[in-house]
Amino acid sequence: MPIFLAFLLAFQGRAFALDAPSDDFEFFQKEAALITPSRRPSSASQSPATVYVVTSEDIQTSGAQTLWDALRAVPGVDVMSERTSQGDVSIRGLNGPLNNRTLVLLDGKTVLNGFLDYTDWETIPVSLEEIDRIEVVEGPASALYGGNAVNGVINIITKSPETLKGGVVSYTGGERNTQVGTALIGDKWGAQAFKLDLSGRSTNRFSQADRQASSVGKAHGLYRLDLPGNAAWSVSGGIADHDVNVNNGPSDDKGRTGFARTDFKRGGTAARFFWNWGRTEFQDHPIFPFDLHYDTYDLNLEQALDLPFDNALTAGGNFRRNRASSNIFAPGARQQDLWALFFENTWKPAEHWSVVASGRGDHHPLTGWQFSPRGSVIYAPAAEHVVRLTAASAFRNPTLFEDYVDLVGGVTAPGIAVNFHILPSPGLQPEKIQFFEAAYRGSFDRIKTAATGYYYRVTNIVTSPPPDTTVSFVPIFTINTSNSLTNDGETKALGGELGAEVALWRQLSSFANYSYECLIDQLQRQTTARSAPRHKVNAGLRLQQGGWTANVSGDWVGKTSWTDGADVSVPVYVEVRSYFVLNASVRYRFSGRWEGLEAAVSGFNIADRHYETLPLQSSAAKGQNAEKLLARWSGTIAYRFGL
Amino acid sequence: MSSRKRRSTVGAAAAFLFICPRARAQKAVAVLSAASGSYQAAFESFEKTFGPLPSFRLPNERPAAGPDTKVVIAFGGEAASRQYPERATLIVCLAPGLAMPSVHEGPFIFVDMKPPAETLLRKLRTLQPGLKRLAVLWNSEDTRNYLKDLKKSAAGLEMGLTLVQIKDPGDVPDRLRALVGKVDALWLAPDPGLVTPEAFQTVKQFSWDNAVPFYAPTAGLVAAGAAASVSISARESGRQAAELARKTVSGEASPAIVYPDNVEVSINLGSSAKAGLAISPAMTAEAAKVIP
Repeated sequence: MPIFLAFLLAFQGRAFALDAPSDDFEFFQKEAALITPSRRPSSASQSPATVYVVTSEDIQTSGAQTLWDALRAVPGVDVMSERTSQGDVSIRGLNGPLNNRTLVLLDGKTVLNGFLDYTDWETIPVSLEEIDRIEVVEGPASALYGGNAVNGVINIITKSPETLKGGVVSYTGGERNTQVGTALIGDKWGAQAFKLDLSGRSTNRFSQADRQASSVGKAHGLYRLDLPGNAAWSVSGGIADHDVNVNNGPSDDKGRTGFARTDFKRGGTAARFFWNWGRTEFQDHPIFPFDLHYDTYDLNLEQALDLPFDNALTAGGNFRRNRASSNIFAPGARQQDLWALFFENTWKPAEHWSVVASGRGDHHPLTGWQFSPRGSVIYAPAAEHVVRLTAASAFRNPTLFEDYVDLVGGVTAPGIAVNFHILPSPGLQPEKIQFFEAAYRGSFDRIKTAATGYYYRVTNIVTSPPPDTTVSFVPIFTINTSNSLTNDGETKALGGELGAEVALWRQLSSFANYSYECLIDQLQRQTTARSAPRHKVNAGLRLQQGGWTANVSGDWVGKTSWTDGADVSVPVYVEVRSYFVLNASVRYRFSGRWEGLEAAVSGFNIADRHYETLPLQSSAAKGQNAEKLLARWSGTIAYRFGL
Repeated sequence: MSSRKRRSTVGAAAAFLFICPRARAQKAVAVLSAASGSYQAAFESFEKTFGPLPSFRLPNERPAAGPDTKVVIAFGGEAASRQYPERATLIVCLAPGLAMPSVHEGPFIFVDMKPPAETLLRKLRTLQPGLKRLAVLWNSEDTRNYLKDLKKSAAGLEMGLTLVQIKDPGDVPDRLRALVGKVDALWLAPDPGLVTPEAFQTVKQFSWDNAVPFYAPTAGLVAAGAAASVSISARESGRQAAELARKTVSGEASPAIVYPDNVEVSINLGSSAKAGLAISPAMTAEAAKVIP
């Protein structure tokens, strides 16, 4: 009864007269006013490039089941969900199947396929639970990271053992045989720290719900030893055993990819070595079954120095050996040694000003030296308001595939034969981008805003020209074609993004952003979009009350048009209509005796609007292999232990 | 430091004299979130230990720290959320809502408002010898790390901990209702989102109605009706910040989070009695503040 009376008083809204006046409530009230929900650390505002951060909470509450879906809401990011099992993510345009102009990193280490330089998102060997945040750096970044950072960098940063201090076991089940299991643990004892992440995911296709889209098992582990003198040494590794459908048809990418890595840091000195490897096969491919083996060895050394006159310098060098082989594309092992020297200097000439200059020289055995500079002037007139101007250039070296592909094939029918030969292209030059950007970030009480405008020009685009064709009539009617890749044409673009995050009140936060890009003189070949989405809008609401978290977000993407990919001589354009994806999730965190337990329900594309991001595989679009995406509901149960 | 580098640094400082006269040659500056209350008390204690230094009181005064400033001492979260020279170490005290500076990009040290976990539990056990099951009411994700330490210490003392995260003060009645008969005492973490007059009143009434002593995070809240507190006073926070500032200026390293171990116990005898807690005379004698 006394308890009942106490709660009755509380709920009746009686005046909460205190027994004695206390300044302490005022103190806590003042300190509480500083806590506003945020999806972006303020430190990103001082960066020499536009940076957006997707936090682990964003990923969890969004209900995303794939990395590419977790990136949908970022301004300027273009996500193509080509199939259930494959997405391609690009920044500010230039997207396409097997996109190789966006550098994707896992804790600062490249995850690009060593043969084709694209990102196979399904085989990145970490679970979504292990991700601490994803930093999306928009704009060229070769000045720091070298090749492939043409339009930006996506760095997936995993949780440290200290952050984990315990672990999580979770299971997700959903429509179309979707099953995701994760077991993650990490801790630190004295100077030693470790973590281990085991996960598996399988799901069936949207369009053919009884057929498997992907099945992936992953493991990722780390051991770190803290040493005297602010030093640390760590060793880590990951592996993904995968079977991923690649063309919405019979062909699967099967095999294993992985990495081993060691890092040493002492004060401003950092050394890192890693080995990425892949052993995959596409033996079910209907025209040319093949296998790919690749190894990437990378050694990076860098030193941070404080210099006079308020300069802070980081400089270093990098060596990378790329080695790959395929039984069909480029018989025999191919190897390239790449060297690089780089620096970045931050100078603060006055209280509100920073000048960041960086540059990197990269040497490639076939293309020689490339120099990639980047300069930013940052003006922060007040603590929460930053204006920045940036100019940069970047490049993408030809891939091992593009340099060495040597593919012979053909199709024979009664009375006719068609043979083709794709020749090696050792004379290819790097694709290059010149880029200019103006940006503003500011906070007004509970509103955080960002606005950017940019222009870029991409030249030397690697493309496939119309083939040389010969015809013979003996013994049967035979068409022989041969061609090689070349650098051809350029693309220019103007664009910008506007975004705002608003903490409506303590429990409810919202965001909205709009991205615009207008491509000029877009090259019209192969699978490059003839016109990328010009308008994109993302918006969302998140409500947190007690143990409940509800999230709803929507993404609208304007129309595009693509070549059908069937004929590079006379391209046929296919329009992909604009689409809208509405996602929602509800999560409940139990308390008391069930502390640590969570349950969630998530819906992807809950309006069940059928959409596609590439032309579907059809008689009108013979060269493309996209899938129509539908709704998918799933439920998750998770238990977090430790603290 | 090489002579060349030293000359360059001196040159940079000299050049800066013409740009920002107020900040010249000051190795330490203090910034207060407000000119009164706990912030002022902590600052006075700081200055007593560290010595006089330039200080700025928000929102009326604009902090000025120059390129030679080695350390900025922020009293309160608002002061800690300003931009300071990147190379300066930011020492933060009386900012229970922050886990790290939101703007400052250089090194930082936090003087936490919470006592060391083991000290807290031992003091509570001294206040309440029969304490075996303690409920911790907390709110901020930033408190999680502290709770890890608390768990370890509790295991060593064979004390059961029930951790109750209360995301919204409006949930307090429900969360307390679930604790009836399951805990011997309540400790409220100094999480700004949770320490509201409404939540406090509800917890206090629950404590009195169910004879479950309620321990507050500050001495001021003991005056408001909690049975007792084991806390770090604002003055002790300021003194600790001064020690850290001295170390920083002289080039010594410090951990990123410091839990001051000079705790003080405050007791409200009336509230203790209502909550069924008998305070021993020895404890009363030891307490820094006793409210009849």
